[in-house]
Amino acid sequence: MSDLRERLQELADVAARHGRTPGPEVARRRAHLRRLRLLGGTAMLVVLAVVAGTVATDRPSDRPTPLTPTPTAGPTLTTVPTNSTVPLPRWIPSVTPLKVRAHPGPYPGPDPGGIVRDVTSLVRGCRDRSQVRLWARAQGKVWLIAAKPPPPGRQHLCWATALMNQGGGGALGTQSSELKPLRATFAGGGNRQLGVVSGMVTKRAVRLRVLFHKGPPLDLVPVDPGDQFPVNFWAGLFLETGPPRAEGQLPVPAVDRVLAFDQAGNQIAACRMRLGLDNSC
Amino acid sequence: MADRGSFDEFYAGAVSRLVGQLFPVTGDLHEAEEVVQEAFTRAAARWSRLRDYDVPEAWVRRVAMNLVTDRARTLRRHTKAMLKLRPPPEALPASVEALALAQALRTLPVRQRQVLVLHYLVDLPVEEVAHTLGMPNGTVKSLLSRGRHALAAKLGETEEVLDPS
Repeated sequence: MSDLRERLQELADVAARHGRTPGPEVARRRAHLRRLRLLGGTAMLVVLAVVAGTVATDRPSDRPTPLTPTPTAGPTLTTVPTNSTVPLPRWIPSVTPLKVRAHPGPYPGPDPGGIVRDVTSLVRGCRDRSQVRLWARAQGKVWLIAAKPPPPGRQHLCWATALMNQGGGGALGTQSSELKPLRATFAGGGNRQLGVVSGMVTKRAVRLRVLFHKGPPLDLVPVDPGDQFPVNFWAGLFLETGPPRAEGQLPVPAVDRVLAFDQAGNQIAACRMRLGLDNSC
Repeated sequence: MADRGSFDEFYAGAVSRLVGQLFPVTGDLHEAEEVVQEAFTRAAARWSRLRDYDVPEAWVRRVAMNLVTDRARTLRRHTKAMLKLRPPPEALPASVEALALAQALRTLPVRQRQVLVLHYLVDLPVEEVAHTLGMPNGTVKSLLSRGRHALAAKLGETEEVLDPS
């Protein structure tokens, strides 16, 4: 009967042999990005709220100029529902959905700031090569999803997202990895900025509908990254508009709910986008 | 460039060992890899200072151990439901005894796992375990004693078998 020391050593040896960590360049690059973020001070975007994400990294250079929104076809309501217990009502932007097609990877470029390289190297764990699996362009910006397929028998996916602008600057985010029938992340740019809702969905889904608090719904078609993935990816882009956010006013994600439908038109999954524990996306 | 080279060398020499040491603490290989990778990222950001340390690996290990504690605390507080959704730990090709130990370790509080691993696997004396985890020597001794006792009970063995010394 081996003692505790020997058994622990055996476990450690086996784990060390089977562990798959990326090379030192990934640690160095992440450290570099964090340094840039610290030096940069304020974020590139007014808000980068990746609701279900874990890390967001921004670059100080090439700060995008505010976008000019297209004439809104959505509701013009600009007042905010108030809650008597909250002194300042939360800021809920109106939304103009953009008709943008999401494409499967690889991203054809250009990539002047190395954002494609960075977002693929951020994807950790899993197996095979990290590649861009979805990209969508609007308003001079590109939204990217990079991912690696899960190892056999494991119920998680390794993926990361990035928003890149024309000059090469951008923002990166790693994402929560547990597989779900529907998972959505949200990145809002604030008043007069581009917003993105994206995620993964079961391959049974052929259509998604994004419902906003203020604005018409956005219908989307998932992008199939291939058979090695148990899910498809999807992304929807929109413009957020006024009223201007007051100082100290907390934002609410523009997205309320996301619904997924199968071929027959049946709703097969849904989630509710919230900040904090109430979020089911 | 010299910085980059020495960091890469340090990384290559230590990363597998640290993943091995963190695995019995996390109980999940993927999570062990993640905390070690994050600890190395922080080391890379401070490498100009860390490279002069006698044992930079000890710094990385300490950061990784703290990350395990933080993650365990966060999970407990915020996302109990997430635990149910997490994938089952990856099965590794180890002996039945070692796998039983891994299983038993997962049921212990994270602090007990940490002191057991640092003392019995990394071979640190009680004082250094205390320094690494930022706790008094007495607490380490107490956690070691309780951890051994709990493991022996879960494995159906005596504490003397686990720790003949």
